[in-house]
This record gives sequence, C-alpha cells and structure tokens, in this order.
Amino acid sequence: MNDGEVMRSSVDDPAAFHMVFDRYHARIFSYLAGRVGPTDAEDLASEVFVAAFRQRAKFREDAVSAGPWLYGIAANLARRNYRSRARRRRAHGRAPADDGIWFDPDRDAQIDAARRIELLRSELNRLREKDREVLFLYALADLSYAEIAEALDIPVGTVRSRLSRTRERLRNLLPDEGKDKGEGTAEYGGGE
Amino acid sequence: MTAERDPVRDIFDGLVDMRQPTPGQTESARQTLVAVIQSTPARRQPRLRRLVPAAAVAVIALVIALVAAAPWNRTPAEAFLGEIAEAARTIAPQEMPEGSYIYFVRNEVILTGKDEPIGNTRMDINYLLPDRTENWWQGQTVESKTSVGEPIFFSPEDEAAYYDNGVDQIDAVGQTRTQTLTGVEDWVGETDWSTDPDQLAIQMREAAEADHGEQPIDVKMMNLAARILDPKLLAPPALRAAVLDVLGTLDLDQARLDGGRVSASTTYEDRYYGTVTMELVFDGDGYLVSRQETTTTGDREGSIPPGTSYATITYSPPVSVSAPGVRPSP
Repeated sequence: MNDGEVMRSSVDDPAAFHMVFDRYHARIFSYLAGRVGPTDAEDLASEVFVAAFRQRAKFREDAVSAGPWLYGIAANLARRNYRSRARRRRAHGRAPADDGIWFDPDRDAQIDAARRIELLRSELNRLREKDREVLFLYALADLSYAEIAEALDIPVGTVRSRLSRTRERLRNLLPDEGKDKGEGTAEYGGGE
Repeated sequence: MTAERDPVRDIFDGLVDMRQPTPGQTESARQTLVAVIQSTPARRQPRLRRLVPAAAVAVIALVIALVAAAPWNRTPAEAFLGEIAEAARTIAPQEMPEGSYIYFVRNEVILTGKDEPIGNTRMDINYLLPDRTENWWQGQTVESKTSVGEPIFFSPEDEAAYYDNGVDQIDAVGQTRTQTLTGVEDWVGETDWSTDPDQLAIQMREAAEADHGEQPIDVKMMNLAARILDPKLLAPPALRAAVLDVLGTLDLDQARLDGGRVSASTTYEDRYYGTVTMELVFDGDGYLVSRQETTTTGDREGSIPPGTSYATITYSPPVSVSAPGVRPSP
C-alpha cells in the first residue's frame, strides 16, 4: 500500500495510521533536529504525527506520498517554535541569530567549522523566511522541487525561483564547482 | 525524495545536527500517537449510511445557525462587538491621497530574555522591555522611529546583572533609532478578505486551520483578526466590521470598557507560558487599540511570575500623512 492508500484507509480505520508513523518518524525527527535542535525535535516530531493524524481526512485524494505533507507540517511547527523562542529571547541589537537552523554545537567549537557556520549564519539571516523554508526542505530534507512545492503549497516555478535567489546569496559559500554551476542560474530560474 | 547532490546541499554537510531519534524517543512519540488514535473511534459504516445522517445534521445545524443569527437571539457578549461593527459600517473610508503614508504609533512591552554569554558572564535573565515606535507605511515600505524605554525586571538580582554587564547598552535603552525597510511582504495584507461576515469567517477559519500550531482555533482566529486589523493595512470600515462580526461568533469572553471600547478575550494552555489569557481591545470605530497576552499561572520554567503580561501592544488609530517624518496635527 502506498502512503496515499494508507492515509485514506486511516480515515475509517485510525490504527492504519501507525504505518505512516513507522515510515516517516525518523526522517521527520532528523529534519526537525536540524531545524530546532534534538531536544525540541522530540516534542515537535511527535506533534507532527498527531497533527497529521487529526487532519488525515484532508489529505489530498490524488497524493501518493505522505512525505511532502508531513514535511510541510514539520516546517510550520519549526517556524512557530523558532518564532516563539525568538520572541522570548529578543533583545535589541544582539538578538540570537534568526537563521531558523540548529548548528551542531560540537562542530561550532572547531575553528574551521565555526568560521563556516558564522558565514552561513550571516547569509541565512539575510534570506527571506520563505526562501529559507524552501532551502531547508531542499538541503536538509532532500526533497525535490515538486515535493517542496507540495509541502509548502506553492507552484514548482516558485520553488525554482526561490532556490535560485538563495543560490545567488550563498555563492561565496559554495564549493568551486558549485559556484560554476550557480552562474547558470537560468537552470534554476523560474517565475514567481 | 531525491538522491541528486547539489553544492547547496553540501554547504550544510557536517554543520547541522541532524541526528536520528533514539529508540526511546521513537517509542515515546509512538505512545503519544497511540493514545490519540485510541481515543478516536473507528468509522466502518458504508459511505452512504454516513452521508444520510451527516446531511441531516448539516440541515439541523443550518437551521440552528439561522435562528441563532437572528438579532433577537444574539447574546449580550456577541452584541458588544456587533454594535461596534454596525458603527464601523457607517464610517466613511479614510482618504489616502496619492503618495501619502499611513501613520500610527505602536507601543510595545515585550518579554525579553538573555541566556547567552555577555562578556565573561553567562546570564539567564528575563525582563519586559518597552518601546515606542512611530511608523510611516506606504505599500511595502516603512520608515520607523523607535525609542527604547527602561526595562521592567522580575527580581533585583536580574536588574543588577543587567546593568552590571551593560546589557542596557545592547538593548539601546534610552536611545532612538530610525530605520527604513523596503519590500516588506505580508500575506495577510495581500489577501483579498471578504467584507461579508459569513464568507470572511470561512476564509479566516481556513487560514487558521492551515496554521499547524497547537493553539485553539479561536486563539488562531483572534491572532488573524489582529493581523487583518493591524493599522499598517488600513482595513476599510466594511472589513473592520466584518472581522468584528466574525469575532462575535467565537467562544470569547467580551466586555464593554470605558470610552465605548470593547474587549474580547479567551484563555488557553500554552506550552511555554502556562495558562494564558489573550485579549484584543477595539475602539468605538472598530479600530484595534491593543493586544495583550498574560500568563495567569506564570511560565512553565518558573522564570515569569503569575499575572505577567508578556506581550502588550497598543496602537494609535492610523491616519494619512503626506511624508515620512510628518506627524498628524493634533
């Protein structure tokens, strides 16, 4: 049974939803750990599946994979979690970096990694929130353009254009071969 | 999910903590889900058998809704917001001459915290930081002038640590800064909200349901109402009236205040702030006057006392001015 069939059957047979949990919990947890850190990821990953279960009747009739839908919920919860923390920690002039991602504290202690993290933080802070959401689903969750479009309920062309913008912003951080590839932004371009 | 590698993906390699859940974490999440699933009855009726009672329920609900909507059946609480809505409908829309700016003042008192190293000291303090911002909006551009007030502390120890470590300089206490932002996007402002209360209620509910946050739906609706009525969007009277009508249908506590103002509030459980009361206050013309969130129990970490309003925002009514920096005549 594909995800779509499982989701639809779980409307009448709630226990069937366990299959969705088994298939996706580890991946959703990992994505959330990268967004909000492992401590909050535990609660949020659990919330994702409770929210998905409660809204299972709204799952798209023609969808085959539940992945994009679950990642969409996870992205929303991560964003809300970050806003909530940011509001609590907000301080003029020296707010914690609002980059929407959780860097590995062990790597942050290493000089070369710390430098890369600092540069990345700086660039992420300059990105628009909705561009970052696309970036994180692409880079952390390894979703395709079409899957990101489904997760965020936006056109595929919008995903392309947002990633294209992001690619331009991150050019200085790309490995050399990436910079060469990035110059051909038409490849990733698209109307928004 | 794609296996394609891309340099943009490589940027994050090794920097982000994307660990897998432990078996215990997986089991804990599974048990939470099991509890929710077990509390949900299985539905195994044939579809047709489900549809007939559903249709009957829908008809009954429609009849009840029509009867309830009749003016003679309005609750007193619903009537407060309804009266303001009616008044708002009679007001002429504000004129916004070509090239003019929307001016308003926003006063905030927001919970602020620090748990990061300041100099050689690691601090963990919370306090309320007030500021006053004058705004000049035109489309997606805003010029603002913000003055930061004196913080309000929850303990003398926090206050001493705050000033000893120079955090007042970081917070720019007593200072005023001016900034201009362009390209400020807001999907709420870009949405074509209906001025028909029934249609608007559907739009707002759909938008609130799309928010996967854990707050009750009425709280999400209140949040959305506050965003629609944010002075920067200069909602026309018909939209202000419709929003108030929609709020009047929610399960809120309402009260009439001095000066023809009305408050609408609700209480809910928040993961961080404990028991929270959220309150919106409107003036007699339907403008949003203030929005406040108060923890009646104190936060769950025990760092904020019961009764603390951790987010209070008050607005002056929006008016049209000719240019940034220009204030309306008194």
